[in-house]
Amino acid sequence: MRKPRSTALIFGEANQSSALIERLGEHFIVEQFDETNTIRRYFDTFDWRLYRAKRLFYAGADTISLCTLNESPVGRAAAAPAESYFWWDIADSPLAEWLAPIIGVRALIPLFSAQLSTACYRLLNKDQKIVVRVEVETTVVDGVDGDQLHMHGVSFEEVRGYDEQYDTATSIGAACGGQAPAQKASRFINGLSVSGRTPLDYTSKFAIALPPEIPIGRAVSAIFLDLAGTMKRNHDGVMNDVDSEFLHDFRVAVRRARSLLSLFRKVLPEAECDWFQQEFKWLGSVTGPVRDIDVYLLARQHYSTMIPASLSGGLAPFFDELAGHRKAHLSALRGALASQRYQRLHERLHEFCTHEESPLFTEMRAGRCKKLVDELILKRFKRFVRDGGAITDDSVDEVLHRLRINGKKFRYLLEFFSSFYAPEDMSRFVRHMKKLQDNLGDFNDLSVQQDMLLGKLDELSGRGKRTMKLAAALGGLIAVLADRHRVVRGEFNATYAAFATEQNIPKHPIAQVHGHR
Amino acid sequence: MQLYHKPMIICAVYSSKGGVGKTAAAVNLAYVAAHGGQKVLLCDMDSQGSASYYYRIKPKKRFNRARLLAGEAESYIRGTDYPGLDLLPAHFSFRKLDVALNDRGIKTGGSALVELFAPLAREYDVLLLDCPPNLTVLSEHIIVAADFIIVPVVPTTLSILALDQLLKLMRKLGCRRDKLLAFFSMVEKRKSMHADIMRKYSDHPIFLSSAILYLAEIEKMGITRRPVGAGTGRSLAASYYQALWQEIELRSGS
Ligand SMILES: Nc1ncnc2c1ncn2[C@@H]1O[C@H](COP(=O)(O)OP(=O)(O)OP(=O)(O)O)[C@@H](O)[C@H]1O
Ligand SMILES: [Mg+2]
Repeated sequence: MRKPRSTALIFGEANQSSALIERLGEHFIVEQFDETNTIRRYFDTFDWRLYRAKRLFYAGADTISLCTLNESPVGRAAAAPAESYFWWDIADSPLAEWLAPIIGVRALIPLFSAQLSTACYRLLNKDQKIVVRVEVETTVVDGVDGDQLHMHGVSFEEVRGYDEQYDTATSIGAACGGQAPAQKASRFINGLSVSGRTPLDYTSKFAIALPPEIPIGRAVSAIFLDLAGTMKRNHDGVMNDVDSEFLHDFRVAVRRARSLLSLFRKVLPEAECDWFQQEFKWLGSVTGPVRDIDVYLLARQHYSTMIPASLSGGLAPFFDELAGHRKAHLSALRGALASQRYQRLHERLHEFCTHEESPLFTEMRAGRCKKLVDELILKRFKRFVRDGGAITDDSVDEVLHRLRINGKKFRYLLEFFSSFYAPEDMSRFVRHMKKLQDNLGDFNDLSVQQDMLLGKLDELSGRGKRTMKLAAALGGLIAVLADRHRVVRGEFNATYAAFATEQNIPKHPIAQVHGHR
Repeated sequence: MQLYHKPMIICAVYSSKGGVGKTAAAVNLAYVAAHGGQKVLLCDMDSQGSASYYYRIKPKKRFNRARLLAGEAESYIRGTDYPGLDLLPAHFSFRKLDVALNDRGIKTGGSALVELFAPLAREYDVLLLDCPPNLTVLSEHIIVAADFIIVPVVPTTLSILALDQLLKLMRKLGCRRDKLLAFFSMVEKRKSMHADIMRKYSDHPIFLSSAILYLAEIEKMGITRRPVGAGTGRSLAASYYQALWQEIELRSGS
């Protein structure tokens, strides 16, 4: 059976839609039965996770809704208004199920608000029977520059069996100047255009494409400026503690900067290099403690399921204590990011990267960057394969940790300069590399976590019930982690072997550059 | 997407007697069922079109008996003013549905109507038929096709007699006796005959315990042209029909 139709038309002017209602009155009895005024606040994560998944989220006075980009509903739930939403804030609503896999640990933060006024009409025939339903909707969005954006839309809804009347009404709509909305011109996209943000204007991926002929100094400058930009963009989110990923992305940018300095150490001016290295190290260390705690707090649910429910209750004081420490560390972190030292780091970096007299742009660093990178990749890769291949079941943990760090540095190197190489080769290689790195990363995380929990256990004193329960829970957790640690370690050799097969090696970018290893 | 779909149930509101409240029941039960969230199609089988009139719906010009029998009913269904409730309007030509159906005959265990209604199960949870007041071939088809035959009974001796005849007919047609659900209609408490008959038969298993009183509100539907529950204020009549529908649903095992 055919579904009743519906159409939405866009009008340029408010008076066109009022003229429409008048014209409809010549054919139907027009009855207005409802008028609503609502504020609709649109949200997304800072890195546009919903937009990427072709979804929209908005909050009304007491509801939240998830819909497609052209605003057809996916789900809706009652919820009190909030400044931001994590999926777990609305865990008991059906929307959480949709949101969780898309937004993960990120918060939905406001993009812009729209004021919506809707007037609902029904068109009746001579028997006073409803034959078409019509909604006139005006949307007003306040732009960042003080301008207001007005949008006028009219939607028509067919009543089953009254097709002729529907056709009449919609053709009157078109005759009054109504136009089918362009796919890309939804209320959301239009509203966004005056809000000061552009879809996908932030991604945590490193995404600059350096031209293959770029000189060393210019490449370093471009990369540093991008990384400094990432730090600045995440600054407010870190200060306001919006979600854990602002700090995470901030720290990744710092690590990338440190990697770049160390990879290019030989070709960069020594004094500057040392100074920046020291300052970024400082930045890494002042941002570390909060992130370390975040890792545990984010894993809270997971930890609780790793041990029997009879034990997991005992962990509460552990997490409470962490949350307390976090507060203190966060205020120290805020202090650091508000300090002159931090300010100075950015100023000097900016100067270093943009002043034409900067040592970056001297003759010494005018050589083709790609030549240097080719060599670096080859050297780093050889070292990685040599170290990895030397690892046996008896090797100490230290060796694996070092391999992980070198692997990470190597991956940053590939990411910085991926535009120099064929994208297919690059992505295939990075994919193979990722499996190995996941193994090494898991191994490291499990080591660190075990150490931390053991440390906590050592600190415990007294014989109170709470302490005993906590000790039991920590003990249980450590046992499970130790077990996984063993398993992950056991998987290393097979994972490494899969990575270092002869089929994989010739496909990596070095093969493109230098032939065979 | 629904993962499973309960089969559509067909309820025919039927009585061979005229003016006993069939249309009033069909119109209001359909409204109550849709209001409760079910997708409902009210089929106006009576060429007089009273049910269609209450919902202010006229058939499309091209509609007639032949199109109904050709299996085109779907294209002539019209939406009422209420969510979840559609109506298949009556047509003047329905008065000869009988003759047309007679040509097709009643097959063993089925009726031509069953095939006509089958495709509607994709769209609707409930089909409510408002039937004309007679005992004809059409009635027999409806009795065979329906899952439940809902019979309004004005508490009088003659009505009970008519009910008896219906049971006999059902036996002849090979229908299960428990398809028949009777309820007392247009009950006037102060009439002693009503009270006597209700006392005598109310424990009989074919009678539902809900009854519909004689209420001015229901009578006025001819003027308001909408189901009793659709007005703005609270409606006593609506709550009677609501209770009646709940009992029917309970009997239908849903
Ligand atoms: N419970 C009631 N209280 C008051 N009036 C009622 C009630 N039920 C029905 N009526 C009125 O009685 C008249 C006949 O009712 P209705 O049309 O529902 O009966 P019917 O069995 O469908 O009739 P027909 O056999 O002609 O199709 C109508 O005017 C209706 O408004
Ligand atoms: Mg009738």
